[in-house]
Amino acid sequence: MNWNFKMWGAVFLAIVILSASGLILSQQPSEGESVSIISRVNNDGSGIFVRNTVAGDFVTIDGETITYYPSDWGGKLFMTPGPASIQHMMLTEIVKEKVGLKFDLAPDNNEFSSDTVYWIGVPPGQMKDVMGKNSNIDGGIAWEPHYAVAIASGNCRSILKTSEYWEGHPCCVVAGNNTYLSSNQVAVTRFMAAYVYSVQWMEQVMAKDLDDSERIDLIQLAIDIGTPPTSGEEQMDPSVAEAALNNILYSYELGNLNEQLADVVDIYESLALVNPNSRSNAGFATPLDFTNHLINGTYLDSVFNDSEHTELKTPSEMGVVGTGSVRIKVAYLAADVHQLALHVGIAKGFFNQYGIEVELVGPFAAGGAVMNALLAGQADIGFVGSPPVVSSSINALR
Amino acid sequence: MDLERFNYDENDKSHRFIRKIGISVISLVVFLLIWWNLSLLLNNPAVPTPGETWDAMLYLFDKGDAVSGMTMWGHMSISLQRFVAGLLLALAVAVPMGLLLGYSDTINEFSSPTLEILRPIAPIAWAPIFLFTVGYVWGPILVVFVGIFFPMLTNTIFGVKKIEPSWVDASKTLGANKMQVFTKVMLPASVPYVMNGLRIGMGVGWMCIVASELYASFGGGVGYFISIQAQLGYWPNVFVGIVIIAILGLLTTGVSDYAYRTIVKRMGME
Repeated sequence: MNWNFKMWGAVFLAIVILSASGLILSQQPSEGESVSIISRVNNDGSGIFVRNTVAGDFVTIDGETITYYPSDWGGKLFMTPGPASIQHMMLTEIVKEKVGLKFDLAPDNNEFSSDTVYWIGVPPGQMKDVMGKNSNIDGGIAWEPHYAVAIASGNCRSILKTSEYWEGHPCCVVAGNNTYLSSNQVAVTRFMAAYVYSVQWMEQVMAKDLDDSERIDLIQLAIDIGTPPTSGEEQMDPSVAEAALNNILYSYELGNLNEQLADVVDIYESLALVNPNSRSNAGFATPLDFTNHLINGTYLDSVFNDSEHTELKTPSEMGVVGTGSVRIKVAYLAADVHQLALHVGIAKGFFNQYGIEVELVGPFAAGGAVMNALLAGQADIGFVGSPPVVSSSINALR
Repeated sequence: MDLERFNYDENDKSHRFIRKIGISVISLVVFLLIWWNLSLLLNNPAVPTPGETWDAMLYLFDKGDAVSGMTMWGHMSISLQRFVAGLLLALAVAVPMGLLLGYSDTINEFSSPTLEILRPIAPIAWAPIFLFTVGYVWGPILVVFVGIFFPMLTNTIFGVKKIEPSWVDASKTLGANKMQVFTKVMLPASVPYVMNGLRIGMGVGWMCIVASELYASFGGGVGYFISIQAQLGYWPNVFVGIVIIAILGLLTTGVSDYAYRTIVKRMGME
């Protein structure tokens, strides 16, 4: 038997073995890393702005009726936080469905067509800077406080708050890596209890007078969190931070999030931003079937003494004894005050009271990166926009 | 069946060709099977199967990329334009500069410290700086330029220095002046080395264009396509981008390889 025959025999054998093993493996149930949404973070809290020098109304609002003016939109260039964000999704839908124009990535030759609105991805914390250096950019859509900062700069005016387009729209959520959630249920429940306490504390403080010391502290924290650490800019004025917080509805309750995210799935599938066949191939007949699977309310339910979620369990009721704490890696977004309650809980020691030590992972510039950190196991829990959770989870289905 | 008819003949060009094609096909089949098995074993959405990648590729070429509103042809065209612009710029600067530095020891000694400081810096490290300083049109082009410039420069200098002194002496004996020695001896003799630099530089250039496009948010390109698809967790699309880079890289380095071999052969320098 010559060497050539031996080698080709080995290659043939390898092909047979690899084909057989591939066929066997492809029949196995596929259970890769996945995430679940365990709490809401906020509703609303974003807005669209344009330079003052850009002419046109873009939209007019009369009661519940919004009128769009395509001629004002055509050929304009907007910044978005990136294609995985709720802001990008909403602007895409507004431009394509309501204004009736195309929504394309900006070309690099400045040849803008009047039948298209263009976008570029810019982290919201850098939008003011980028807009200052690029005169081709007409406006942007940003989460708070960057929408409020743009308006307060005096260089921009508001076109539309996202709450005016879709009142109570879903935004950020708390998502957890399912492997971590299922094997650390006690720690996750304590984390959720501390988070709920933080949100309730914020609600109480925001109801106090403007000169209340706790409210001043909260606004200062919002300023610190909302200012990009690398911007080198002066921090925003407290009145801007107040305006930003007043544009956000903080809420941990999941409520009708499943129905809202089913709408997001519909939009994503119709825009082909997710694989249009993945959901149905994975056995979820309707978008609602999928979002019911994606959302897990058991952790939130278990932090209350009652089913109406009126009485939060205390640390002792949660079984926290002594000073020992469990470390949880939490991914978060850069310069985003939607996620302020997380930072309140850390700063005020609420997580520690519930026996949790939060190790922040990030900050990440966009939700897609938070999702990738969760799926890769770099983070146990992530504060992230709901659309990236939806898009990444659908695209992860096999 | 007459098996003798199928005996492989090393001296037969068609036999060699069929053998080469056959081995390549079997090699690719094994590669695809390993990829398929690895994807199923890892069970991670970030490593799709070849089948998922193929389906995504068909969709992208047929319907386009919904996020950017561009087709894959559009992304490929943008990346190629940037690549070619960077390549031409590198050719225009590195070749004359290399000839000059190879020709003049004094100028070479003068510029060496600066070039040696800049040369080890990975071209990709310049990407965010170029994008921010010269903008999204010239930024990626300059990154490619840096990637191709140094291999081409060092090869050109090496080519000039490798010229046989007897060739220069002979041309001088025949009455050639300095300019004629430069244009008639040094320039043609260094062409194979320039081409070798080009061949190496093109491989580096592809890495540079993709890396710089990961930062760029204007105009698209294969690198930017990969970046936005990764944000959406649309991994089969990411793999399509990777496959396209591999194919484009293979094509461009194949062309430069062919050009190098042809020139070397024509100049009798094999």
